[in-house]
Formats: sequence, C-alpha cells, structure tokens
Amino acid sequence: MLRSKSVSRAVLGPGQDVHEHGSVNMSELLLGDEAVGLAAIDAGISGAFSYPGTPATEIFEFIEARTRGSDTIVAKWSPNEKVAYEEALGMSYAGRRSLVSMKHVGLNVAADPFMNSAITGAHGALVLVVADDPGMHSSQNEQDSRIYGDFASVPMFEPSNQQEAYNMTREAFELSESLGLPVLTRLVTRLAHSRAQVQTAAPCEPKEVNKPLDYRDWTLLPVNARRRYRRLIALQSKLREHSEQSSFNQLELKGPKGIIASGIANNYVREVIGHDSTYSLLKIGAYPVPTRLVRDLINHCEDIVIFEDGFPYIETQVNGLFGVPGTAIRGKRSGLIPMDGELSAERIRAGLGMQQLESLEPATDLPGRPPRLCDGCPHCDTFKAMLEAVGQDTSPTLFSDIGCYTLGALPPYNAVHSCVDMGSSISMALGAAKAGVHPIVCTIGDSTFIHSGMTGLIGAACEDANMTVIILDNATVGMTGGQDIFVTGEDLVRVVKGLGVKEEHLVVINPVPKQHEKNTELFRREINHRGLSVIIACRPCIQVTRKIAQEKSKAENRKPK
Amino acid sequence: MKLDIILAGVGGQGILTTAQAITLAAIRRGLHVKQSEVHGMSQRGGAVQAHLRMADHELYSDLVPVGAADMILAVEPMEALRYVQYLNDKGVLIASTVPVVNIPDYGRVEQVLERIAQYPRHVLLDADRLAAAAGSSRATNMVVLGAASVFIEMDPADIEAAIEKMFARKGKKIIDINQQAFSLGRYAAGIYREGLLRGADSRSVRQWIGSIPPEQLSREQLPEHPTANVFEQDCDLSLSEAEAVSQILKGAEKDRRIQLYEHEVYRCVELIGAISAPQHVFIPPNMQITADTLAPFAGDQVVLKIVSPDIVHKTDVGAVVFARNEPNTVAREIQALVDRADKHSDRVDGVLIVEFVEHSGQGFGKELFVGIRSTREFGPVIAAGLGGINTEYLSQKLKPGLAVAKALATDTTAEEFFELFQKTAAYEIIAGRARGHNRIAADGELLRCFRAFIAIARRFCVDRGIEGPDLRELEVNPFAFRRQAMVPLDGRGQLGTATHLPVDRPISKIGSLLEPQSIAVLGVSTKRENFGRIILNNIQDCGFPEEHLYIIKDQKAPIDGVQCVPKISVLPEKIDLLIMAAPAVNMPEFINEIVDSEKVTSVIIIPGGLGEKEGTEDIQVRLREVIAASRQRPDGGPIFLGPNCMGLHARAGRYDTFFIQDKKLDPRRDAPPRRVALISQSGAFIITRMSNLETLDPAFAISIGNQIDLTVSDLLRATGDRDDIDAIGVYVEGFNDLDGIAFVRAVQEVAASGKTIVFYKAGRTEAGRSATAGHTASIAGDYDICQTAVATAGAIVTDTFKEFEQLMELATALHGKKVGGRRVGAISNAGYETVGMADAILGPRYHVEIPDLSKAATADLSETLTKHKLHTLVNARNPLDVTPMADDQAYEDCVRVFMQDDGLDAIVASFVPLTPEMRTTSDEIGDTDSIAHRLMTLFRESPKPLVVVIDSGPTYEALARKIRAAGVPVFRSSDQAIRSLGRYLCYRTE
Repeated sequence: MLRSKSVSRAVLGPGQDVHEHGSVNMSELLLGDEAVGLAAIDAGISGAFSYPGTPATEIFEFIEARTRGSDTIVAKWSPNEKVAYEEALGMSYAGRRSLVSMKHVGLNVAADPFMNSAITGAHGALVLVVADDPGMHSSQNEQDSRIYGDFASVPMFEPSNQQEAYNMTREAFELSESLGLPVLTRLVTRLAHSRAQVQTAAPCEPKEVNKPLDYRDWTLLPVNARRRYRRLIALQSKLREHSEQSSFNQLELKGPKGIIASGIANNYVREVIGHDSTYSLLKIGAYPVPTRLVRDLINHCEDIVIFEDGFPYIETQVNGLFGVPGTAIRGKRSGLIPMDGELSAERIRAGLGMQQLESLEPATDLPGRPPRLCDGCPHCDTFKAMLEAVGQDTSPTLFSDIGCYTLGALPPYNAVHSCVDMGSSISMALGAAKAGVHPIVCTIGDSTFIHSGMTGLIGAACEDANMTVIILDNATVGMTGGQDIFVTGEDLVRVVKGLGVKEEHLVVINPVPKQHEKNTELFRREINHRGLSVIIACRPCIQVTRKIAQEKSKAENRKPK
Repeated sequence: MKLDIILAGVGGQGILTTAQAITLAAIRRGLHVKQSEVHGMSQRGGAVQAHLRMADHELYSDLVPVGAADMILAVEPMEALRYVQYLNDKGVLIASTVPVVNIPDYGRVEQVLERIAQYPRHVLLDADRLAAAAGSSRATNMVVLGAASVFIEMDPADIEAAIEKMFARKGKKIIDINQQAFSLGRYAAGIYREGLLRGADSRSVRQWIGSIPPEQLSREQLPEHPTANVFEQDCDLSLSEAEAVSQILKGAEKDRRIQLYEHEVYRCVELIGAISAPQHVFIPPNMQITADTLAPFAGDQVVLKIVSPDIVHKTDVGAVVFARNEPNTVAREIQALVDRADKHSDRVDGVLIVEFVEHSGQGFGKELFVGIRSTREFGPVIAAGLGGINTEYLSQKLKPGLAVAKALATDTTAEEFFELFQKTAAYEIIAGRARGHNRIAADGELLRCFRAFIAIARRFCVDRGIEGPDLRELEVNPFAFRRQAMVPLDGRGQLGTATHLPVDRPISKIGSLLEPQSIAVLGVSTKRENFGRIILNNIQDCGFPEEHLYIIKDQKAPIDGVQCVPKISVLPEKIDLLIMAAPAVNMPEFINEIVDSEKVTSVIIIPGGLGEKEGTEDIQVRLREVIAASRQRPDGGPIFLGPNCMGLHARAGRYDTFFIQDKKLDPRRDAPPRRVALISQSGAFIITRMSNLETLDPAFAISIGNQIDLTVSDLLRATGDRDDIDAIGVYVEGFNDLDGIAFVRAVQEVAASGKTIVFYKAGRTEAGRSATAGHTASIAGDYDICQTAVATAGAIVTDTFKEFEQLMELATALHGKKVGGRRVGAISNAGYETVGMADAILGPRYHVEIPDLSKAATADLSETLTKHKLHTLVNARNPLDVTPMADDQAYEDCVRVFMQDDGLDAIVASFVPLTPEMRTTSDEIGDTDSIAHRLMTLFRESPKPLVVVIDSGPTYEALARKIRAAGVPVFRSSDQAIRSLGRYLCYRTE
C-alpha cells in the first residue's frame, strides 16, 4: 500500500520541542513502528533487515530514512523475511547489533532460522520485531507471534504504547546481548500505526566487529545442537526471573475484580476503568508470563478477566487444562470475549459487564467502499486481456498471490481464485496441473515472485507443467507503498530464463489498452499451449510513474533559469 | 480539556495530513496526543479513517471509543456518515459536499447531504470550490480542516503554523495555498453556522455561500466576521480542568502567596482552552541562562519580567525589559532587573522570560482587558473592556456600558456576555467597525476567552469550603491580538476567601408577615403615645379584627380596648405576627421566648440602635445566634424583619406599623389598595415617596431596615409572587452577603411574570478600594455591577429619586395599557412645550420617536381643527401645538384623534392651565366637562398609555392632584414626561 509517506517524513524533523513550565524536554511524535525504529538506531544497530509487509513496513522505512547516507548503519530490503532474518543473524554473529522486522506471516517464512537461532544464540544483540494484525486490516490471518516466541523459548516484549515500544526495544537489545539470545518484540497494527509523543534516551554507539572464539555453537550438528539446546533450556529459569522482575510487568492489587491485560489491551482497560479501585490489574509487557505475579493476583481475586489482543495465549497458560480451583478465569478461550478481531474499549466494557457508552445509531445502510485497483493500473489491462483470452466457458482455475493484484478478486474482474501465502500461486498451480486441471493460469507480482515464487517455478519448468504463469512486473512493491525491488524488466526475464523456462514460451507484453487485442491473442496462444508458459506483463506501477514524474518536474523547477 | 476526532475520507484525500496538522498544533500547546492511522490499502479509493485524540491529561486508548468522539471531520460526505456512531451527544459532523463516486451503488449525493444536515451540529461545505479558489484542487482537506477549526478550541494560528511546518519543504507557494484553503474553510464554516442559527436550512445556506465570491471570504474582504466559535457548550469546567487550576491555586497557597504569578495566570486560562499564551519560561533565582534556555524562543527579542508577589504594576517600577535573544545579554539584563526589583520588594522569586509578541499594534482599543473577581454581594463577576494602561481612565470617562461590559459570572453565559461586550467601544474597534480600524480579533476567540473566564469564575471565585483557596481575582490586562487570536501580555491573580452563602430563610412564612390573621404588639405604653402605642392605634384604625390583636404586657386591664397577655408563651393562639416596638435594651428578655415558645411565625423588630449603639452588640449577636439555631428546627423557626425599620404599611394586610401621625402623612385608610408595593431599606425614603405620591396607595410599603434575617431579595420575591401586585419599587443601600445575586435572580423571575420593578441603588462611592486591588475591582465595582446586573435582569434602574417616583407612577398607572412601540404623540397648547418635547426624544437610556401622523389622522385632525375654528392657527401635525385658543372640548377632540392613530403608541397631553379658554381653577375642576374630567375619561377609555402634563405653580396643585387621584400619571414638566415615559416605553418594548 502507499501511505502518505512524504507527509510523515516532512513532519518528522528531529527534536519536537515540548515546553512546559520552564523545562525543555526532547520528544518526538512517532508511530509505534517508528518508535521501534528509533530505539534500534539509538541502541546502536549496525544493520536493519526486512521485507515490506503491513503493519511492519514503517519500522524499516523509518530507519532507512533516518540513516540514509550513514556509513555505520546498513538498511536494505531483503528479498524475503527468511533472508532478512539470516542477514541479521549473520550480523549478530559478527558481534554487531541488528534488527530484523516483519509482519506476522513473515515470521512463518523466517520460522526456520528463527527457531534455530534460539539454539545457536546471538552474539551481538539480535532483536526481531513482529507486527501482528488482529482484525486482519491487511493480512490473510490473525496469528499471534507470541506463540512463536514461546515455541522458540526466547524472551519477548509486548509494548502497550509508543513510549514502551521505544523503551522495550532498547531493553530488548541489552537483554539479547546479556543472555546471548534473540529477543522478540511483538506489536499489533493499532500500536504500529498510531502516533504519540515519545521521550528518547541517550543513544549508544554501534559495536565493533567482534568475532566469537568458538564457531561450534553455530554449527547445529547434533553434537552441538544438543549442547546448545540444553543451554536454552537452562536459561529458561533466568528468563522467568527476568520477567518477574521486569518493570514492564506491573501488578496493582486493589479491589476483588482481577484483570490481566497484555500489551495494548492495557490501554483499552485503562480507558474504561480509569483508576477504579474495585479492579486489581496485572499488566503484562514482558514474557515469559510472570508466574509469581499471576499467582499473587489469583490469590487476591476471585474473579479474573484476561484481555489480550490476538490469541488467548496468557489465558491458556494461566488456566492450563483444568483451571484454577476457586477462581473464575475468563477471556477469549472461555468465550467471554470474541476470539477474532481486535480489542477495543467497547470489548473491554462488554468483558467487564459494563454498559456501553451511549451513542448514535450507526448508519448501517451505507454502501461499502472497498479498496480497488487504481485508475490506470497496469494490472487492470493484464486482467482484462487474460480474462478475455481464457474465456469463462473453460471454467479456468486462476491461482493468484499476495499483492495489489489480489484486488482482482473483486468485481468487475473476479480474476483471482486463490491467495494463500507468498509465492503459493505457482506451486499450487503445479499441484493442480499434476491433478490434471486445465486451463490453469496463475498471477504473481514481481516482488512476490522473487520472495518465494522462483523455487516453485524451477519445479514447474523442470516438468514443463501444463500451466501459464503471469508475472506482473510493475517494478515495485506496490501494496506496501512502492518499495524498490531486486529485479525488474530485462533482469527479471534473465532470471526466469535461468530457472529453466523455455524461451519460446517466455513472453513479455506491455499491458496497455492499445495493445489489448494483441495481448489477448498472445495470452490465448500461451494458455492453449500444453506445457509451461511464462508471460511477463511489464509496465511500472501507476503510482510509481506518477511519483517519478513529480520528482522530475520538481528537479526541473529547481534548475537555475 | 479533551478532544476526540474521527477523520474520514477516501484514500488519497489527505486525511492523514489533516490529522498531522491538528496533532502538531496540539503538541505546540503541550497537549497529550494519540493519532491512530488506518493504513492498509489507502490510495486505492477505499474508505480511510484516522482517530485523533488529544487531552490535557494522559490518554490510553489509541482508538476513540464508540460514543465518545467530539467531531467527525470528513473530506467526503458519505464517509462522514460511516462513523456517526462514534459521536457523542454534542459531537459535530463536518463534511465536504463533494462526493467521490467510485462505487456503483452510491445513490444521490443530495440524499447523503440531507442526512448529514439532520445532525444539529454539522457543517457542510463545497470544499472543492474553496480549495480551487485557494489555488489547488488538492487542498480540499485543508478547507475541511479550516471548517473544523471553528469547533476546535485551539488558536487557529497554531494550526496555520502547523500547516506551514508540514509543507515547509514544498515551498512558500504550497504553504500559502494550504493556509488560504484553511482560512476559507474556517470562514465559510462560520458563515454556514450563522446561517443555520438564523434558521435557514442547510441547502439554502449552501447556495448562499456558493453565491459569495471566494475572494470575499478572505478575512480582509469579509464585511461581517462570522462568529467563529459555535461550541454550544455550557460554561462549566471539566473535572480535569478544574483539578489543574486548583493545583495552581494550591501551589500558590503552599508557597504562602496571595498573588498568583503571571505564568500561573497564563496557565489557568490556557488550561481550559481559552487562549494560547506566548512562549514563556520561569527562571528561578541563580539559574544559568544557556542557549538551551532560550531555545524555545524564536525572534530577535525576548521580554523579561520580574516575578514577585509584591510587584503588581510591573511597568511602573521598571520590572519589565526587552532584551536581545542571546544568553549573555539575557543573563545580564536579568541581573539588572533583579537588582532594581530588590529595591521595591522583599521577595523576588525569579524572572519570567516571555516570547516577544508582534501584535496588531498598541493604542486606543488595540488591547483588551478581561477579569473576574469574587464580590461579597454578587458572587463571581466578569468584566471585559478596553485594556492597557488606560483601562481605568477610559472606564471613568466613557459612558456607562461603553468602556466595560460586566456581568454576574454565575448567571451569564459566554454568549450573553459576548452580547453585552458587543455594545462596548472595545468591540467596535476590535471588530473593525470604527473608522480607520481593521478587525483584529475573531468573535470566536473572544467568546472562547469569555467562556474560559466565566468557567473559572463559577468554579473558583466562590466559597469552596475546605477544598482549597478561593480565587479573589484573576485578570489579564492586556490581551493583545496576533492574527486575530488573543495573546495575553500580562496577568494577575489573587487568592482570597469568598463570601459564604447564608442559610436560606423560610420565606414561605412571609405571607403571615404581609397578611397576618393575628398580631401581638410588644412595647405598648399605657402612659404615653410611644411608638408601640401609635402602632397599636394604627392597626386598630386599619380595621384589624381586635379578637386576634394582643398586647404583650403584664397587666390585666386592656389598653385602648385591646387585651394584654403577660408573656409571649402564654398567648392564647399561635400568632402570625409579633411587632417588637420595645427599645433595643429591653429585647434580650424576649429573644429566646420568641423562638422557644413556638407561638410566633413572623416578627418585626422596629427599634434601631441594635449593634450600632454601644452596649447593644451583644444583643445583635445573640439575636443572630438564636435565629441561626431556630433554622435547625423542622419548621425553620420564625422570620424576622428589621431591626431599625418602620415595618409595614400593609393596606392589603389591614395593618400599619408606620409610626407617623395622620396629620403628617395622610394614611388614606379608606382608599383601596393599588396593585403596587414599595420595598425600602430606608424608612424615611419610603414615607417621603408616599408623601410625594400621595395617591399611590401601595398594597404594601415595606421598610426592611438592617436585614438581620429577611433580606430585600426575600421581600421582592414574596411581593412579586402575589396576584395583587403589578409593580414594585425597590430602594437599596446595601445587600447582605450574596443577597445581591439572589436579588438579581428574583428580579428576573418577577420581571418574567410580567411585573415591573423600579430600582434605585444608593451608595455609589465605594470605599475600601485598596491601591493594590486589580483593575477588575476598579472598573467593575459593586455599584457598577449592581446597576448593570439589575438592569439586565429586567428592572428599570433609576438614577434620581425623582426618576424613581415618576417611573413608579407610570409603572402603576400604565401597567394595564398596551404598549406597542415607542412612537409618541405629543400635544400642547404651548409652543415651547411641543419644541421641548421634540428635543427630549433621545436620552442616555431611552429613545422615542415623535412620528408624523397617519394620513387618516391628519385628515381627522384637520377636520377637528376646522370644526373648532383653529385651522387658521394650527398645523395638523405631531407634535401638535393647539395654541392657547383651544378650549376644553377642542383639546379633548385633538387628543382623541391622536389616540385613534394606529401609528402612535403613547400620548403625552400637556397643557398650560393658565389659558383663559380652559377650565382649570379649583372651583372649575369639579365640572364634569372641565379638562380634568375629560382627560380622566380619555385615560380610562384609552388602551394606550396617556400621560398628562401640567406645567404650572401651586395654584394648579388641586388640578394635578385631582387628575392623579383618578390613576392618571401627571407630570409637572413636559420634557421630564417624555424622558420618563421614554424609559418606560423602552422598558416595556425591550
């Protein structure tokens, strides 16, 4: 997606002065994402690694913008999250601090190095920031990254506000280094994309390259891996102790009604209960779940409600299989709060049995206004030609992928039958081809293709599978705001060729209305071809074209006359 | 202060830019901000929303809770409706009327607009048109932001500064376009709201705005500045605001200061969103001045001010200097400043560095004063007017009400006060109405400021009990103006203890005082005509039933046929009224008995000297204690009138305690009561008025004395409640604690029920204004406040005793007459009178017209004059000089023509009785066709006011008295008649 990036940058000059009663404080107005990015810079990272994905994109973009021209911090997009994670891990092995950020489903891609890095451990601090998307504002699922953190047995932080996003990220770097473990910070969309003032702390200098003495720790041959795994297990008590002591976990024992709220859920709870002393509140921001604090709360209260954005992770841990005798513990798992969607003040009210605020009737009869492909988008022309070529009467199977073009699923195109995970279109098409389906057309964006489509295509090329792949080369990562991509145009053609696709069925078209007839004919021919065809529809994203034109005219205006 | 906004639109409309602008402005004001953006696929034409929250306290949720939003700001109309459930019950809906139709089922946009228009607080603007006028069709978001700014309690200059900052990289042209779009939106929204407030529907207002060329919407061209602020909120502080102000007061108290520091005053008004103060930093003694200290200050200069509780008028002692904005210079100047100040003060707490404010120039009317204070009689009051160092001078030299607007803060809304303020010279200049002046402040800014002061006054200029120190005074003088916004340049405040509200009296018992069914008199002498004896005889003469009349005296034999009872406690019945006529020194033995016996409902204490003469202080104290104790009883105990009073002349109550001999003042016992009451703190005032207006025959004349219990407001309320009273005259010297405000409220209620109150306040030179007292006390003293507040509440405030009498007479005589306007018909048989009357049509507090007669009336009049053969001498016109040739019949006929002219609302019939043609001597006035009888008949028949003037000497006293006795108002000079009638007509028609 394209955010109004220029605006945020124009505004975010360093040093928003807030002046009150004679004291001058330095603070900045930051998105939750940006607070993380700034904390990473201040923590002295040498590199930031990422693949774009809402709502995490701005973490990296902030660092990239702030450190442009810097010779001490590297900030480059990676082809996918797995690569990003591995780059960060490599930097950590060199003794330097690194940040890797991604959206929640990105961690699925990076799960392999992530899980194993818990066993190898980190050398220079390695912090992974994952932005979850409860409510699925722009994602295909709601998975909760805390489960991954638990799975990998690493310490985790979950900030409730922008200030904590900064503070926790700073602490995550220190903790990572002191434990020799990667640390996970979990954000949610609402925090990632909400601004508030953030007070910053003194920055650290980047670390020098400092290679460890013993490389065996990183070589997960069974003999080493067993030793390292035992270390990880042994560290757990230390992690638990850390989170018992952490100032990010706070227990306020007051009245008999108990609340456990993690991360951003705290804000909604505070908004609703204010400082009502009938409630006792355990705020959780650092993991593992602090058992002593939970026990203290349970001993104090008869009734506990657990609010957490995402999965009922804490609730499941606290309740176990059988619950706590004598204490009613309720939350999402118990059905008190809906499992899906994000939390809100309204859900907290409902959960605590409070009346909702009086409000006006919603206007339920308004037509929706879903997002749609931009006017002049090259994808539109590609879809039109493709649909005409394939014909509805053939009942085609139209696999697709993750990107702007997924909007082709909506009318008037209805040209997308699947969107599962990055790169899935080609591999799924291959599977379907093996099942004997015809015609099969799959659409995949250039960036998605580089991210995870290439491996699938190698298989399809090897077998000359009976399918048509359309690579939508718009020269950018359009969906997340127009980030640069690794290969486009001629380079992309060479890559595809290199993967084993036959030259006679590798076609490049220019998807413009003028070429519609010609393109349709080409599509028809390739779709009818019994074997693999790859069509590269190559025309830059309309937003990118516009931006380039604007910059060009600005540059001309600046020229002395 | 808290503001929750939902911003909505379609991707690409600049929603987030708009949010940024407000956010930056909020941060500039030191507010807490949360701004949540829904990114997602935002440039693909989908619905986009952002949540923006700001407050002066910590915020938690990033999202605005459903039902909590104060505003929806939408750049697209349908998107405005999409989030209405977020609005609270006072929420505002602001939307552009231009739809983005990128969905197939959008429907008709006019239907969408009509739905928006149904929300009482909304603004609909053609943002595209205004954006294009500003220079870019892309600036629609700034137009909508401008419209929203009308409802955002924030200095618009702050938002404009934020716009400048946001577009800084795009160059001056883009900044100008966006600021212009903002400004057009703001002005158009003001006009839109005004249109709606005037009752027009949304559609016609939109059409109207559409017809105004955009260049005329810019601030220089706009003829009438729109009322920018249309927040119809009440003048109450939120809990958090109140708490923040309270903390400042407590801080000063803890610091053992009575005076607030300047920056504390700024903070107080700033906190509740009134104004944005200039940038300032408080520098405690010995603090190093570094570049960091001066970092917040832009510009070449800063202002340095001494902070000391002793130094109030800083400029007078050189405690304010301007310095170059550079650390060494500032440090040096601060040292010099402190050295100088040490000579004037024992306590210098530091120095305030203040931003140098470039404002709209100094000079007459370019600075504004706003102050509040707590008064003993009226509680919190607010005043605003011309500011600067000339404040006092101007308020003395200009006509009342022109220099300063003043009002009771508890009973006046900001809007009402703004209306008062609009009548001042200050407003004329600020609004650019005076010649050679441009508007320098937006109405909305003024309103916002007044609202803030009123809110603080209501909360803090009152007795807060143990909650904390009360605010005696808080004022900003001057406010300067910068880009139409108000900037305070100096301020002061003082802590104090506000007057405690006294316990309510059981005023339902006043009925037994006004119309007692049983009376006992205490202090009747058997031997001589003492006060008690005179009172007893007067009561008897009034025909009060003797079986319910008692004398409290330990003797068997009745006095003048009235039974004696030895003690109050053994009275055979519970009596309505006890009249204490015994000397003060004898009172102590009765005080407890009155209360303890439970035999008495009301008491009149006649004697004076209580508490005033030596040796009687104890009695007064004891009396107060006993009254206070009796209030704890279920029935509230008896009520007391006096002491030091003449009691009541209660024609309607069949008794009279006025100890005046009949030969001195004819009691006219046989005359029926007229529908009028007189209430006076002075007994002599009341009997003098009764003597002058000898046929007024009030149903009640009440002398209230020292108000140890019942107050003037109690009696006004009690008489005002009665069905047999139409007009009430009140003379007051001083009010009891907070009884002034109770009086004003009583005036309001009584006037609202259609009765007339004529008021005279004595005590114009106020003592006790200390040299350190602030401007508020000197320009809005208790007398000024009293006059203004009572007049605003609906009484006729009179300036002289004569005027009081004349208006009492008019109010009594003309109550039943229909008053349709101020057009007066004037008739005289003397040329000088017609000229004199025409000269008197305009006075400081009234304005009447003497219009031409209607065609029909002119024809009738010509015919009448011809009939009486006067046509050769007399012109048929208004004012009419019928000449001394007119006889009784001719005069009457002319008056009758005037009475029948629908173009006239009141008639003044004046005649010089010395003319041989009229029958006016004492032996002629008995004739039924003499002028006296003719006028009496005319008055009776006339549905409109008729006033008679007889300008002549004692020979014609009998004539005047005869006419007046018939209930016709009679004046003894024609110009005076026009003046008083003018005031009465204005009162009736306003």
